[in-house]
Amino acid sequence: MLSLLVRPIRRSAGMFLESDSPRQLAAGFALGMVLGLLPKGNLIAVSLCILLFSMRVNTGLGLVAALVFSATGAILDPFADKLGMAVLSSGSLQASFATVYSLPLAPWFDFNNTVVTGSLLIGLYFIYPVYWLTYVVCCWFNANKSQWALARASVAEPSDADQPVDRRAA
Amino acid sequence: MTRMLRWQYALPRLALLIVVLLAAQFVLGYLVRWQVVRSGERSVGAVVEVGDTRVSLLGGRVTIRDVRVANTEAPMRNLLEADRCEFQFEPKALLHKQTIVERGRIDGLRFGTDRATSGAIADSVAATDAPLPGWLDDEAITRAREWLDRLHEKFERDLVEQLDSIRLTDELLARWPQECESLVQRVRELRERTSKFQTQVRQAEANPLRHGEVLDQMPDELARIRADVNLLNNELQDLPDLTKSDRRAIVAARKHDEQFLKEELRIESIDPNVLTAYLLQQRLTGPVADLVGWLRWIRRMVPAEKPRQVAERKRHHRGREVAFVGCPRVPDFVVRSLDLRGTARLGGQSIELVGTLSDLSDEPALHGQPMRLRLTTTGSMPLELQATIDRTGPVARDQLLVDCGGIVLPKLLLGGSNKLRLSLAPTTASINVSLTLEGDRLSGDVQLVQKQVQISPSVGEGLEHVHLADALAGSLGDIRAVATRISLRGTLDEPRCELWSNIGPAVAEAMDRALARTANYQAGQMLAQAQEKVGERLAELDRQIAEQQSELRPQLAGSNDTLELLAGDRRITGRLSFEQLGCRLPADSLFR
Repeated sequence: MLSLLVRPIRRSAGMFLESDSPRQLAAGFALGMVLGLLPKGNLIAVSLCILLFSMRVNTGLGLVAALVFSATGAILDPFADKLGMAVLSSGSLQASFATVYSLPLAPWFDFNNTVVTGSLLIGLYFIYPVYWLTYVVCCWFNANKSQWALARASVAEPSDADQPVDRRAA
Repeated sequence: MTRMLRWQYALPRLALLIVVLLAAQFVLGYLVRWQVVRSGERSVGAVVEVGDTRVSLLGGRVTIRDVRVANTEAPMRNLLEADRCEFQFEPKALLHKQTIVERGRIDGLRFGTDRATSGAIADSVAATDAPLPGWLDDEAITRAREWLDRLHEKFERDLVEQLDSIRLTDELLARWPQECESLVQRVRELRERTSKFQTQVRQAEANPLRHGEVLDQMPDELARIRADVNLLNNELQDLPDLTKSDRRAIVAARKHDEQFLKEELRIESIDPNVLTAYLLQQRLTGPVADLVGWLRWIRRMVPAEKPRQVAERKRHHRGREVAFVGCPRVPDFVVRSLDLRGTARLGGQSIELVGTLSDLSDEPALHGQPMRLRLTTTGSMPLELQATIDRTGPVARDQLLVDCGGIVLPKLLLGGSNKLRLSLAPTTASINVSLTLEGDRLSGDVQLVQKQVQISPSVGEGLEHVHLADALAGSLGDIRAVATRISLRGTLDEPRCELWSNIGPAVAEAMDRALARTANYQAGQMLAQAQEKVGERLAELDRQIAEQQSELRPQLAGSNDTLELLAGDRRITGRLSFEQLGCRLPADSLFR
C-alpha cells in the first residue's frame, strides 16, 4: 500500500535524475537557479531559458530550480537592488554601460534595472557553489542508489538475491 | 562546448521559430487588437471595440479598422469612432525598446455617434464630471427678476382711482346727497311753516279780537317767512355755483395727478450687467459647461500627475532603472505625427475636419515636446482648433484655441422668464476661444460676435396693454451686432464665470427709452381716463342738481304764492286801529 503511494514520487524523481549524469543535473540546477532569481520579461531571462533548453543539461531539474527560486527570489530583491545600484552607478563603467545600452536590442535586456543586474550578479556569484553542491549531492545519490535498489529488491523477493545484478536492474 | 549543444534539439526549434515569425504578422494582429482594447478600456473606462487589425512586420505598419470608443457618461453613444487607423512604425526604435509611430492616419473620425449596445463596463465606475456649483451669477438673475416683477406691478396697477381729481370728484359726489337732503328738508320745513302760518292767519282773521296779538305779529312773521323763501330760492338758484369751488379744486388736482403719475410710473434703470446675466447666462451655461467638461476629459485622459511617477509605476515593479551618463532617457511610446480626417457637428451643422495630432508620448517630459492637436474644417464653416497639452514641465499646462468665423446659429430665445424675452433670428457668428489651464488654474475667454442680428422682444401679458414690446422693438432695431465675452477664472473643479455683452447695455438703454415713452403714454392715457371719469361724474352731479332744482322750485313757488295770497288779503299789514275796528262794527252796534 505504501509503495503504491510513494511510486508516483519515486518515478517523478527518476524522470529528473535517472537519465542524466550528476554533472548535467548540477548544471541544469545552477542555470535554473540563475533563471529563477532574475525578474522575467527581459532578454537576459529569455536567453537563459533558451540556454537551459539548448544545452545538454537536465531541463527538468533546471525548471524546478527556476520555479523554486522565482518564488523565493523576491526575498533577495532589496539586496539585489543595492548591489545593482552600486554596480550600475559605478563611474568608471558609465561610458561602457552607455555604449552597450545604445546598441540595438540592448535595452530589451533591461540590464539598467538594479534588480535585474543585482540578481544576475548574485546568480553568477553563486552558480559555481550551487553547481558543486548539486554535483556532490547527485554523486552521493548515484552511489547509494544501487544499494537502495538492492535493499528494496531483497526485501521484496529474497529468492532473487542470487540472480545477477544486471537482470535485477532490468 | 559543442558536445554540450543539442543540435537535434535546437535545429527543429529554430525552424519552428522561423515559422512562428512568418505567422507572427497574423498572430500579432490579434495581439495588437487585444492590447488596444485592453489599454483603451483601462484609460477611457468604457467599452472599446476594434473591428479588424492587420500587422505588417516587413513594412512596420499596423492597420486597425472600425474603432469605436464608448462614452462613459452616455453609454449608448460613442465618444469617437474611426473607420480606419493606420500607423507606420519606426523599426529601428523597436530594437531600442521604443515604439515610435513615425506617421499615422485616422480616417472617418466621428464624434458622438449612436451605439446599438451599451458601452458601459460592468465593473467600472463612470467618471462623471462634478457639477459646476455657483459659477453663475445667480444674484444677478434674481435682481433682474425682481426688477421685472416691479415693472409688471407698476404697469398692472390701476392708478386712475388713486388720482386726486377722481378723489375730489368722489368726495363732491359723496357730499351732494347730504346737501340735497338738507335742502329738501329746509324746503319741507318752510312749506310746513307756511301752511301753519296760513292756518294761524285764517283763524286770526275769523276772530280778530281774540287773536289780535297774532294779527299784530303777522306782518313780521310774513316778512320772515318770505325772507326765508327768498333765501332758499336764491340758494336753489345758486346751487350749480356751489360746486364751482370744487370744480376748481378738481382742475387744480390734475397737475398734481400728472406729477403723481410721473412719480408712480418712474422706473429705476436696471444694471446692464444684471440684464446681460438675465438674458444670456442660462443660454450660455450649456456650451461653457461642455467646454469645461472637455478640459476635464483631457485631464482625465492625460493626467497632470508627474510623468515620472506614472512611468515608474508603469515600469518594473522590481528595482529601479538607472540612466547612464551620456545615454539620454527616451519615452517608450511616441507618435510623431497623426493625420486626422473626419466629421463633426457644430451648431447643428455637419463639418469636415482635417487635422494633425503630433508629439503624443507616454512620457512627455522625456520627449521634451508638448502634445499638439490642430484641426481645421474644409466646409463652409471656417474653423481652426489648436490644443496644446504640455506635460513637459513641472506644472501641467493645457491650452485651447478655437477660431470659428462663420458658424450659423439657429433662432435663439434669450431671457430667464416670460416677463422679458428676446428672440434672435438665425444669424452668422464668429467664435473665439482662448483657454489656458495651468496646473489647476483656469483662465481665458470665450468671445461670440453675432452680426446682422434681428431682435424681437416679447414681454409678459401684464405689459401687453402698454405696448412696451413695440416700444422696445423700435429701440432694439438699432442694434446690428451682438458681442458676448465669457471670462473663465478659478479652478477646474470650481470655475468662475464673468459675462459681458453689449446686448445688456443696449437692451437696458432701449428699455429706459421704451419705458419712458410707455410711462408718458400710460400717464396720458390715465389722465384722459381720469378726465373722462370726472366729466361723467360731474355731469351726473349737474343732472342731479337740475333735477333737484326742478323739483324744489315749484314747492318754493307754492309757498311763495301762499305768502303772496296772505299778504294780498292783508293789504294793511299791521294791527287794526280802534277806528278801523269801530268802522267794521255793525252800524247799530252799541260800540260804534
